[in-house]
Amino acid sequence: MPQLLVKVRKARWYKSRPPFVLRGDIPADCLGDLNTSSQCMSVWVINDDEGNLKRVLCALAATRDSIVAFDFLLFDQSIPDILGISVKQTDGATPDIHANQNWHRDLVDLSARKLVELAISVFENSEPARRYSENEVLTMLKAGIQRNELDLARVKEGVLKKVESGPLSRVAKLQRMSKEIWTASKIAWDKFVQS
Amino acid sequence: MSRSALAWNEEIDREVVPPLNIGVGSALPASFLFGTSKIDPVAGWTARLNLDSVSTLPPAAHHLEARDSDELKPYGPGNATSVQTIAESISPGFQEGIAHYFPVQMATWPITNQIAIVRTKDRTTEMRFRNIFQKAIEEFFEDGMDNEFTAELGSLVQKYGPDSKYILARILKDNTSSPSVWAEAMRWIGRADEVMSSGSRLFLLKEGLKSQFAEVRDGAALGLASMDDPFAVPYLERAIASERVEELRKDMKQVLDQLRSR
Repeated sequence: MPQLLVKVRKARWYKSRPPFVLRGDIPADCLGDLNTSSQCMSVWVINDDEGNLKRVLCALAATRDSIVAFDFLLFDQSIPDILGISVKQTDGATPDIHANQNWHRDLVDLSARKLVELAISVFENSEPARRYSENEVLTMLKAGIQRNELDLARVKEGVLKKVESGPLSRVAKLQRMSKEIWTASKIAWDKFVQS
Repeated sequence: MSRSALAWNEEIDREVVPPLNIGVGSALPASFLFGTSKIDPVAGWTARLNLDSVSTLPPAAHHLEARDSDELKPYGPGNATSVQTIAESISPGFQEGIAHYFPVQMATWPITNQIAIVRTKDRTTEMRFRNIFQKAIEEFFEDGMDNEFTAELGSLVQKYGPDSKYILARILKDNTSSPSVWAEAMRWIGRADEVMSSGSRLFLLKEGLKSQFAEVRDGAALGLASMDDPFAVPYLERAIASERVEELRKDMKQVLDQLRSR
């Protein structure tokens, strides 16, 4: 069965509960990741074989201001059905039009109680949250751009710049560090001479 | 000089050290500068030299500060050291009447006798930092998205330069700010190469790895991944060895692998 993807902060969904959270309950911070707007919550459908997972992640990463690690949770599509939450196909708002039209869904008509029930059910019945590292996200974005999956006009400048430049090489880092040391030494020397 | 021998003035929140007679180029016990229990500068104390009694320091040098706990170790209580050359840039804090220096070299700086030292916290600057951490509790953070908190933090770090490192370390250590806000700060610090030196970022992220909150430790690990600096390897190894949350330990190992492959 396909799964639904939601963006989270992984540390909020660690399976080891704090001592004050009893069985059947979850840490309150989890709710901070289930953002709603007009009683709807945005999720993405991920195929059984996860064949579209990287494309969806790439589309979502392309909406950000900078390239950072990507945390997400996958939960069974049956969970909303069991809780009586309606799932509606709507367009997503990422720079990937194909992903927007095919894999975006809204969980609609959510009440506060339903949202809490959803959070508890997802926490208890899903695999641990997953993370793609910053470098993996960068690679996905590069591939997405090469395959023309993204409307570049809708990708933030900071992201495009990083995709073009890539991560700093070790040599570049050493150069930057040397520059920092040189600047600090020069300032110190100037002060010494002045005095 | 033992800590109990120091006078404490509650009203002005300062520890006043009685004047000490030293000759030109003579040795000054480090315990005089830092007390016996205040060796760690993260604890928030600075040693101030009274300029009136110091004739040969640079004109702006009215504030001598020990800057790095690692540098300080050899100068522990009971040891004696010469009064250090104070050679470092004047921080932007100087505009408010505070210039910070740190003892990087052991060359003797000639100093006339009668130095009065007052240890004091720069409370105004620190409050500015604390306020933005307090305000940020109301804010919603989304990964990879700019937000008001990191924008303000960036401005303050830019304004106060190297001092920011110690102020942030103090705020982190006293656990008075929200872990979620700190997690966001840690992620930002990892990317803040425009406004902070790699040494300062590494120092703060290393402290973050020791936080009692998993969320903050995770933020610190992410910050280190962003920095992509192999110097962080030993810190991560230590953090992994003591990490109790299985999922977080796995994430830290992933970062460690990334840094080792650099």
